[in-house]
Amino acid sequence: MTTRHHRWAAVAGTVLTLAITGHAVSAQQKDWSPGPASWKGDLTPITAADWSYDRAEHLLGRAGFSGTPDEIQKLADMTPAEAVRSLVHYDSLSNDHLEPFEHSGFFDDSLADFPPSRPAATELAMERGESMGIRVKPEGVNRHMQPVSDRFFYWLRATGMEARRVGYWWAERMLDTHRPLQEKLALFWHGHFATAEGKVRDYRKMLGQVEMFERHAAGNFGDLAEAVAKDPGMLYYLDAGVNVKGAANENFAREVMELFTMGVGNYSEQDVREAARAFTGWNYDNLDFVVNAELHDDGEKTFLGRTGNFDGVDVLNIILEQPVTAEYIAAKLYRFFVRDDPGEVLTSELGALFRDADYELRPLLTTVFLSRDFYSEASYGAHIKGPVEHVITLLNQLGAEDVPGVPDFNSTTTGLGQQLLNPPSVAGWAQGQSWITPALLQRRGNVAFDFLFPGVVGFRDPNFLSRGGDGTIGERLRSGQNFTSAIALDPTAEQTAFNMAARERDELFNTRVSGYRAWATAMQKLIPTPRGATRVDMTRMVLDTGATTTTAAVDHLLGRFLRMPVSEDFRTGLIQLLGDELGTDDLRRAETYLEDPLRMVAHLIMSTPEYQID
Amino acid sequence: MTNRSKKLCEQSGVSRRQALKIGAQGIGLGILGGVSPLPPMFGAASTALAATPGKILVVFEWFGGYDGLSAFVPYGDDALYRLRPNVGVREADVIKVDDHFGFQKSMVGMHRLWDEGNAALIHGTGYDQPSFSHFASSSFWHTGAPNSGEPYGWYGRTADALDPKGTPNYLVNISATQTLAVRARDHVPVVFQDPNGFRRDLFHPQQAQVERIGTGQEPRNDTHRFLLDVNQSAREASALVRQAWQNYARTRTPDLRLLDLDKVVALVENDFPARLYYVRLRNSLFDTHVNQESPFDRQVQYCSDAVWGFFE
Repeated sequence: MTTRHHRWAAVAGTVLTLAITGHAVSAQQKDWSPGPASWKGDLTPITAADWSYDRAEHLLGRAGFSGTPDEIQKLADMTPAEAVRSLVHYDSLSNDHLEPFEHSGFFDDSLADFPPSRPAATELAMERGESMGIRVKPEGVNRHMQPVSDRFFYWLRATGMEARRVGYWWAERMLDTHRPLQEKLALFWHGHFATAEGKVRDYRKMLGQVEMFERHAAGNFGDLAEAVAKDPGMLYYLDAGVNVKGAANENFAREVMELFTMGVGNYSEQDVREAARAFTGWNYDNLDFVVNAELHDDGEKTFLGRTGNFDGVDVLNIILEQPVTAEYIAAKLYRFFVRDDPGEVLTSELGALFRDADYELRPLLTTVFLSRDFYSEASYGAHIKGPVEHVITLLNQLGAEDVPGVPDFNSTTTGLGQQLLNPPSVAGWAQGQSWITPALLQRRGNVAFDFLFPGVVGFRDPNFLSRGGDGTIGERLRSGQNFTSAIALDPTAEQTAFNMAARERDELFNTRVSGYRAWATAMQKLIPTPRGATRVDMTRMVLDTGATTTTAAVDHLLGRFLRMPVSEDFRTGLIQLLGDELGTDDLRRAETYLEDPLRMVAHLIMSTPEYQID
Repeated sequence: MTNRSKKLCEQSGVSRRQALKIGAQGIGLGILGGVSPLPPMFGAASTALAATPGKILVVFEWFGGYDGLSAFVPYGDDALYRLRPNVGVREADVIKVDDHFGFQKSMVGMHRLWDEGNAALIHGTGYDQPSFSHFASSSFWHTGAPNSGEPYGWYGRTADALDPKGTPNYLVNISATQTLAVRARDHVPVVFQDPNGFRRDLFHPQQAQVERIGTGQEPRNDTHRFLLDVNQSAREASALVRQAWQNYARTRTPDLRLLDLDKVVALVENDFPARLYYVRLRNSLFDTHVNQESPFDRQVQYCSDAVWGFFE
């Protein structure tokens, strides 16, 4: 992992000063100063007179993943136009400290045409005597197809493991980057042009997508849409391989209009069929885009009222000519960055702006982030952080230098409803209120608990096979049992469909043995994920602000982590808890045993409904 | 429509177009489009439920590209094979219930329920000019109100109609994320997947303060109000759910886990106050687009076994 660079010099005590001078709701708590309700829908830029620490915090939360008080103060010290510019025009900021992804070395060329299913893999091997670069054992040897079955499951396991590493690598970039908006946009595009490793089954294609989203993040939407249409991951995900002349598969053509550009209701079923014809023959070869001319339908198509011998690029260009496309994308960006409902007037204003800028994203983003609307009462505190955003923000606010290995980043966000590289469907993640259920709200508090109090007991590395299932087979094989007794099922198991299917036997190979071997073989190559905890010093964090009392400590932590003030009841309770744990309200007296009690307070703050809001 | 489902419709006084599939034990399985406040069949469901105190309705949703014609196959109708020359389920792969209809061969559990008189079916439900979009389609089925922009789910509206007071813990959705079908105006659905994880991790000294989370807090905006409501629901439900799960004997066969019906059984057995439950197949294999046949069979079989097991 890379070491995080300390971006900005420390400016201690800033938050407390502001809390006293600002027009805060509670005298002790931080400032909360949304613009007036009348700013809603107003794209007029705010002025220096409208600028404050609180507004800078709002901006950094939305256009990035929040930060430490020093980082927010740095933005607050600029004019609003400078602050927005520093986030949107990020190309001049060096990101050379970020390291490229280091491959474990799972892949070789024999895996390039990975079979679509295990039966396909073994049938191929039966015909040819080999598959995926692996030869079958000589005929007559017991279960002579076993190596081919093992190979199939090896790659499934390996690409899954490596995809988790790509997730870690990306999360580390989100935390370490000097260009937070670039990563926030890449995350947005990943949810917009959603592709799942679970179906693609090739982490390399997914890695390529992440890099593509970073490259085009704040660039031109038309360029991005074309890059996506030619992206091997997307081509695989939406079945380009079976979209051929004479038998068009509509999957990509439908989603490109419905989800990626125009939205449902703005085209006909005939348009879908015609667009599918235009994309016929588009495919990939390993990691390259290719057009198979003989599979491409080069006849005349009529699409959205235009007729011609269109190919996929023509179709995309016609789509970009539709006013609704600019509105659809602008509104979706708005919902991600500002609030749920832009309304018709604002949508058409933003759409016109986007289209007039030829789909360049920077003018649109600048207008939005500088607008009175963005700082209005309606937008302030209206956003529910997504799981990845939630975790990166938490680590940023703590000043963590790395994404820790304990708890596991991917397992953590997956438990909250978002796994990087594995969106639930091509529609991406639903965002907003759908991130929260009663159980998930409690779990968010538990996630904070796990970052602050690492689970040193019973942590399970997801790269290790757990007991039961294929793990049982592994344990038996490793204790010297022969193949037949290792794969025997528990005789008391019920005759359910579930178990009956597991009993299916094949003389040629056993898939549960392959299941175990897949883990073991992949582990022989896997670059391990470091399993350190969140290394932060909350004692220094609080004492360096000049705080001397439990009250000051609680107010600092409330201000540091929350956008909005909490009830006086809750605040008083925190002060009391800290005092009870320390046996004094004097922080200096308690300096040597301050750490865990401060973490308890931080955990409780991060468990509140208010902490889920940005 | 089969004779049996005709008979059930007659008995329950609902027409075919209004019918909710009501089995002998009160399980509802199918849905039909309509308009607000509630589509006719949902109205019938809520009337039936309101008239029978103590009854519980469990809805199980199967989703993805696997329709009624492939599950309950009209193998006696030539049109099926004319219009679906490749994917139409063949007569040989059908467990016949009469000379026209039969279950797809893997649905042994469902067929058993049918034979016991515990299943009824409505075939050919839908709405005019169905959407070809996966996502619009799903939301139409979840709201029961195609092309309307209806923000609440049909099941959530059923809860609102049955219990306008919004009694806590009335509506349960066993799922990692909330399903649109249960979204309600007056109820905060209890949504969870793992009963053991439905808790707050903490150290003992934090206990009193955890109880204060969200208390005395005035909502500052709609997002904040939503979160405060969900927090309240979590507080009211989580301990009861964990206790019910601890008491649950887990001796049942066949496997109910795939459909999360084991959690419904645990809550019902332990007198959890909910009257409406909604479970959903966790990982649909019905949307793989290619190589579809074999995973479909397996999934259909597991699910059908689980529904049968739930009745047992």
